Amino acid sequence: MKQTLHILVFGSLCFMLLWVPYSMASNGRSIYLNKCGSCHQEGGDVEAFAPSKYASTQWRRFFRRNKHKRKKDISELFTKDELEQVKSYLILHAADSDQPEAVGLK
Amino acid sequence: MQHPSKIFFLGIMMLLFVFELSLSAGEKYVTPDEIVPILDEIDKLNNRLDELGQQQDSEKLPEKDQQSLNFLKQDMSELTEILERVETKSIVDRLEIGAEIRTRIDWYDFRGRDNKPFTNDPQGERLHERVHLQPSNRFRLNLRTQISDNLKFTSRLTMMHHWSDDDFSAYPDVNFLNSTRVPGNLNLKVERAYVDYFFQPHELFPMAFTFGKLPSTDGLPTDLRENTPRKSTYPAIAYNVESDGIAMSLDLEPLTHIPQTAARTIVALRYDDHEKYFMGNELSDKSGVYRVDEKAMDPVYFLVFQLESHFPDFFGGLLAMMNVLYIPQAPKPDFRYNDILAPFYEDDEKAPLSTRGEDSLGYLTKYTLFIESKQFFGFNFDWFAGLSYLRTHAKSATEFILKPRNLDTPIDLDPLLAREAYELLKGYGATYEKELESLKNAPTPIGLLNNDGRSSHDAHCIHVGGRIDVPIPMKQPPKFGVEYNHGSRYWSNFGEASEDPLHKLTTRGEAWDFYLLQPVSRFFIMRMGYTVTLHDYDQNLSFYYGEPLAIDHKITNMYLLMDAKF
Repeated sequence: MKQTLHILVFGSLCFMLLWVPYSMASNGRSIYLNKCGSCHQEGGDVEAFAPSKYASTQWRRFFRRNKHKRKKDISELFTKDELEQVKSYLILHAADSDQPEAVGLK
Repeated sequence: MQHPSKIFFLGIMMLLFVFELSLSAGEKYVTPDEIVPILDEIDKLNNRLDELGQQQDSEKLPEKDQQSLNFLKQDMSELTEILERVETKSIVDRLEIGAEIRTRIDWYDFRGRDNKPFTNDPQGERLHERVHLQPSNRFRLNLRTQISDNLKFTSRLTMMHHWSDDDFSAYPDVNFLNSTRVPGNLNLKVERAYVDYFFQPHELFPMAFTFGKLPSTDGLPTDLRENTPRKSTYPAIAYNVESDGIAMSLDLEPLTHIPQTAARTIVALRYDDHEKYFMGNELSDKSGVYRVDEKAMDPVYFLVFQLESHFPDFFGGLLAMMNVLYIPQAPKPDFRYNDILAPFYEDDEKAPLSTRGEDSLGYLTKYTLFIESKQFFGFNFDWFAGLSYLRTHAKSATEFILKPRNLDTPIDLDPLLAREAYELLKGYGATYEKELESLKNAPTPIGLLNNDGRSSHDAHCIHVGGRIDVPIPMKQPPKFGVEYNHGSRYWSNFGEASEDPLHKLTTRGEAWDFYLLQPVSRFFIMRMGYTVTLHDYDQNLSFYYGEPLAIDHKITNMYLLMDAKF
């Protein structure tokens, strides 16, 4: 039985290692940090923002109505796929999302 | 008895501390930042409309324009009113409410032999027991509010029970560690309720003072298995039980320029309230919180220090924690609720059975290193590793004794261990033989992970695992995770409040855990899993009580759960 268990674990680990290269992270966060963050900077001309600025429905409305266009047209800077990934990231970490907890954690 | 001057001195110290908190807080109440600028804009527009209105008085506008201006004024007035209502609501509605529902179905399988009581010797046949389809529900009500910009309240109320069952959870010796975390009755219990007060005595030292029932359950890496953000102060391998206490956190980020670097100190305490009755057993003849019950368990102090830091650019991004847990005095156990042991606690000097030993069994220190990495090097792969080392310093043991001089027909011998009485006294008179024989199952002395009150021990545990997104072209692919832990003979986890029903990290032996979780939507997750624990040593009387005894148990748990959070 122990041997079976070890084979099972070894198999699981192999499975994980083999599939890692094919399972690239959805990089909404890095697009948000690099592309959005290039203009939205702390102390910069354009105010920095966190995903928790809006609730998920507000983020959905923001993208649906393409509200960014009122300030600046970013359609040249982002591909459709990138915008979708940023949207998913912002919704996932929106103000009404599950928040981390620990003593003294803001 | 505390001397009044000590209490007075403590009071002065507390006042100075509070004074320091209030000086360095710089409190600012939360205002709806998004609304104020809009209201300012509306004010400007209203002013502009007023100017237009004045122009209208001096220069007669065409009727059509005048009507448009009036409509515009009405619209602006309505808009202002609506926004002011939103503003008022956002100021007043401070409490955010969230809820979680979990339905879980478990299958268990147990294989092993029972031991003769308090010995390493197995007895009877090897058993194979199965529990099929044990369903349970868990409901959590999460309440949170940002009272002001430096005062935050968080709480979690929990109900957990087996389907249509309303039992009291019957593990009284450790239930102070996990009463909200094991299936019990239908009552909603407080799992955590605490306030964080953020202040800054110096610009380089932002601090937070926390008090209440603290977030010390759901220790890392539970966040991976539960698919949530971090939900605890500590790694599960270090400390994963409910605790009431106070904490001080020092944000070291301004000093070190390393993100999320902090030092956290917690003083948690279990205070026995000298309950008079418990489950029908009279525990004390004293009533009133101001009375001293000599046989009650002394307070258990848990002192925890943790240094943690986030290294986003090091080795794929790491959260690292160094944790020290110290129990300065491990109080002797109080087993008066136990029907078999209750006679040893009778408050009568002339009773033949009694307990003997010092109030403290010794002290214990535990050191833990833990790292967790999410989206390792940008891949959808999360992993963690924890290593813990524990050292006990034995001082005493509680002995369950028989006083031969207090027997109906006294025997002139000094008190002796009850479990040895039969062998030692069987020659003294047949009258007692039957009663004395039943004492053969009385406990050995109960010390701090020993049965002699003298042996100090060390122990270790490793806990490693990972989780990966299964590469299926889905918007929300399933996640597959594996965890492994190994605890040595004297390992003591303080993990009775863990989310898994086997409390696998308390295992003195090996445990494997496999799970597959499938996010159905942002609010709904399904998970199935298989946990196997291979026990080389038991938990004796639970907690840190007694020498772990050799066993050969294998327990498996297969489960399916559904989680909805909103």
